[in-house]
Amino acid sequence: MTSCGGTRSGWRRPEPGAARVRKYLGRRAAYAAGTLLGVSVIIFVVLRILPGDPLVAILGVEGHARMSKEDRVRIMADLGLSDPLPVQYGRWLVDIAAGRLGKSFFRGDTVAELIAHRGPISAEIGLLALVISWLVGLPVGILSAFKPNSVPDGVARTLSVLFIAIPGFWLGILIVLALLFWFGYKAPIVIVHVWQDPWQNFQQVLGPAVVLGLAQGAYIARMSRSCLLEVIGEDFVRTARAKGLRESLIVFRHALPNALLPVITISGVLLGFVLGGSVAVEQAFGVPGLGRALVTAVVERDIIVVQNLVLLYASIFVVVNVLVDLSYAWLDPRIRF
Amino acid sequence: MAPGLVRRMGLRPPQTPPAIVRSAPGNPARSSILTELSRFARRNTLAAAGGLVGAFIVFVAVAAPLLAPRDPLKADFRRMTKPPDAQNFFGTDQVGRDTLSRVIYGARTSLFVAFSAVLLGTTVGSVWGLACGYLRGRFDLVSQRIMEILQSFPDLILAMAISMAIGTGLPAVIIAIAITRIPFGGRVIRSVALSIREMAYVEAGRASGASSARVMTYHVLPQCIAPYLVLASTHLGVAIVIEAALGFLGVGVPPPTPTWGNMLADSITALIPPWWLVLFPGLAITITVLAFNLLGDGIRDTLDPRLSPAFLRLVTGSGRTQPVAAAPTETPAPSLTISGVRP
Repeated sequence: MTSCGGTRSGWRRPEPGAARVRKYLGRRAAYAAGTLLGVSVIIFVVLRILPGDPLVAILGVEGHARMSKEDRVRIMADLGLSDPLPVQYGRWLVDIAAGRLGKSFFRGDTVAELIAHRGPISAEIGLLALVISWLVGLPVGILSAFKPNSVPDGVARTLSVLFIAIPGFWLGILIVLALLFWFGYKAPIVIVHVWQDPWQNFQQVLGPAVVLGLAQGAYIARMSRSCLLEVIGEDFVRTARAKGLRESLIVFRHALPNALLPVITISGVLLGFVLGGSVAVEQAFGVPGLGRALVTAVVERDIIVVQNLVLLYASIFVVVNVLVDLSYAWLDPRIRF
Repeated sequence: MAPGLVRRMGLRPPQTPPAIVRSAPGNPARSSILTELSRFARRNTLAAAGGLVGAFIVFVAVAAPLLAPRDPLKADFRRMTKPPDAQNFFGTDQVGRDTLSRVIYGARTSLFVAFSAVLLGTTVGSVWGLACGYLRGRFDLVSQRIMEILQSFPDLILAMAISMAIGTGLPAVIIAIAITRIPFGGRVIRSVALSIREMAYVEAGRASGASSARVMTYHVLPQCIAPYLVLASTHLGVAIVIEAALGFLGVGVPPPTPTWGNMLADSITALIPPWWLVLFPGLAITITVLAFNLLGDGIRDTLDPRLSPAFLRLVTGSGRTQPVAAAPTETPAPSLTISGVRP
């Protein structure tokens, strides 16, 4: 775990030169691009080399055996699966660069359409979960830290330990069931975009976002508590107290900014948890988002869809963590580019 | 390298830990694993409770054939989707299988997968990290990059893709989860190894002509055991959740093998899932994860308060894994001692 923030008061943020920022951005972007390239190699290796014959993977052993040899060769050539692997990999990269993401074996819709159609719902869920996690986690963490070992602190810590342990997809099923039992309510099943019917869309998105947000909020509460406790022990907070500042001023002006950095880090790291978790939670709520599409593709062994969606999820994760890194430099003037 | 040589070179191997005498009453010479455990329990009540519950679940998993009232796979078409009653305490599922028995047998699969995956993943990662930290150089650079790439995947999604690629089944699921655990072990143990390789006794080993492999196994590895245990215990809960999620999504251990994830997946195939089919497997997952998380947190707090320099001092300098037994018998029991400070 990173150590919590240190002293900051009295610092004037030095204006970093625009050129330096640009250089740093370029370096960071190049590094992230390298990581993504590695990610794509791993996806390709896992999905193309490990299963042996991709046709067996797609059709199953029986279906594969029933097919004539010419059919197999034709389909393989159709799908571009009969070329040497490096050629296939190269073509995949070129396709991504050109924005062609290939087609589903079974449905005929392209992966790009899939993402455009289902992506917005999942993105809403993720963003809303992030907002909820901060709205819940941070106040709870602050409350805990300023009255450590009190009753509210105990309740908060117990709840956070609990919400970290509860699997989101189970909580999701329970919520769906409870709503159905007691209110006879079911969220819309087909995709409703926010620009079509904001209210319906909100009903669809809220459940998964709450479940994911609470779990994430539990980590944030825990992290902000421990970091605040550390910062509160510092001299400058005592000084602030000694000169008679209001408690709220001490918290929000002096302590909080110094404690936030690790909380932001963990929020970035938790995104991996949200991205993965959303796949299962969407399934539990029956929300037809991108995660659901990924699950369907994995179960159907739809390799082209899987490889592109997994790459998409990993890219989001990588890019957000680059943004988290950048936000450090913006939030903490001691960190130079 | 011979201990005598170390002494002659004026260096002290870390195996002689300075005494940590805590103000605990009783004769320190008599302390054993049991007293150590009871001390741990007194300091971390929650962790001890987690440990007890965890031990109970492990017991249930091991003794499943004795404890389960019915065959978890046997369908009974006269009793389909029955709510909990005297005959089936947790009710029955859509084909009349006893839910209680399935939850009990589910503990078997879930724990087996989680333990094996964490053991495999953390061990591979730790050995890799140890080599990275000790050898440095280009090998380290490349390895760090690979681990970073592995960590760029959300855990569950990587596990899904791998498990799909190498085929569903117990070994596939174990390997899939293990691979997601490798980078964690790699990074933590690497940082430990990095600091230990600078210690004088390691240098002494090198100076006396020991090979890298020998120095790594005999001098660096023992110091990595404490952080390894911390890692393994903190990742157990995660592994259980991933396993359940894989089962829930239909890419885990294939049915009809009862796992908690499979049971939840089965439950939502119904238009209106019966509450007992949802509640009990989920409760089992939650309690298990909670227990292992609490235990893991306790172990971490005991062995490694946040992998800090203080922790590294602890591991490299004082070897807290075996402290109390080595309390000095020649010095009279001091009346007032501060933990970690030699009287």
